[in-house]
Amino acid sequence: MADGPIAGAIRSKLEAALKPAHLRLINDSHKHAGHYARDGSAACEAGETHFRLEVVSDAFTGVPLVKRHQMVYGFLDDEFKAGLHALAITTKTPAEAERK
Amino acid sequence: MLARVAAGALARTRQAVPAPAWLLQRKFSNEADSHDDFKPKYSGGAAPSVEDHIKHVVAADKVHLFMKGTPEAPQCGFSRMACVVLQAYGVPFGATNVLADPAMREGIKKFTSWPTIPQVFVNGEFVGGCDILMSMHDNGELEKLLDPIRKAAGAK
Repeated sequence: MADGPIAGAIRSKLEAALKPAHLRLINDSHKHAGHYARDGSAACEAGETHFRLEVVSDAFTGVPLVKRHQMVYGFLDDEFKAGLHALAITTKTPAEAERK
Repeated sequence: MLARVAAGALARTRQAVPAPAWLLQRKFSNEADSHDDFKPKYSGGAAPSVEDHIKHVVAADKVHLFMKGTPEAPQCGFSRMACVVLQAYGVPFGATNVLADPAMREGIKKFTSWPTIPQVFVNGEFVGGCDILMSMHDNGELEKLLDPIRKAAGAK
């Protein structure tokens, strides 16, 4: 499925900011369509409210988990304002990704 | 009792007339003379009262969860997951239902610079959301963090 406007923005912003070695974005919005009230936001209308995100980036090296997630959230302020509702995040450094 | 009857009679005779200002003032207390529980609740923006409340609960509970719904009846899968994890570790935790108060729902997001719910606090410090809890469970950090709390609670 092609990216909608929110997914496209998430992808391009994180690619620019984190230069990730790996970035995977999965739209889970359909799984939450039942429980999540329609709020009329752009993201909601486009079916882009819930995502899963995997990022592997050198930018996370030496950064605690909370700070990594706060970095990601920081880049996506506009998208949360536009109605992005939930983002399940996995952040790894290249070294951590190799270990698994 | 007599006063209530009189007021009722007065109200009936005044049906079409808006209540006078002094009567309205009696119904709504202002902040100065009001008990905490009855003070007006602020909506929108992080009013000092919300921030103070957050600081208070995260200091009062060793583990505190801001969630949607209650531990008995979570209203969101991510909140449910956070409860399941904390319960599996056997630590007592307090919970705030952010759906019960729009000011709290916005206030906690501003307080932590974290846009989503649930949010977990341990020993007064913000730990993270559902994903971080799961990651910490996977890598053993959560056991290290919660073990002393579980022991302290068991010793009581």
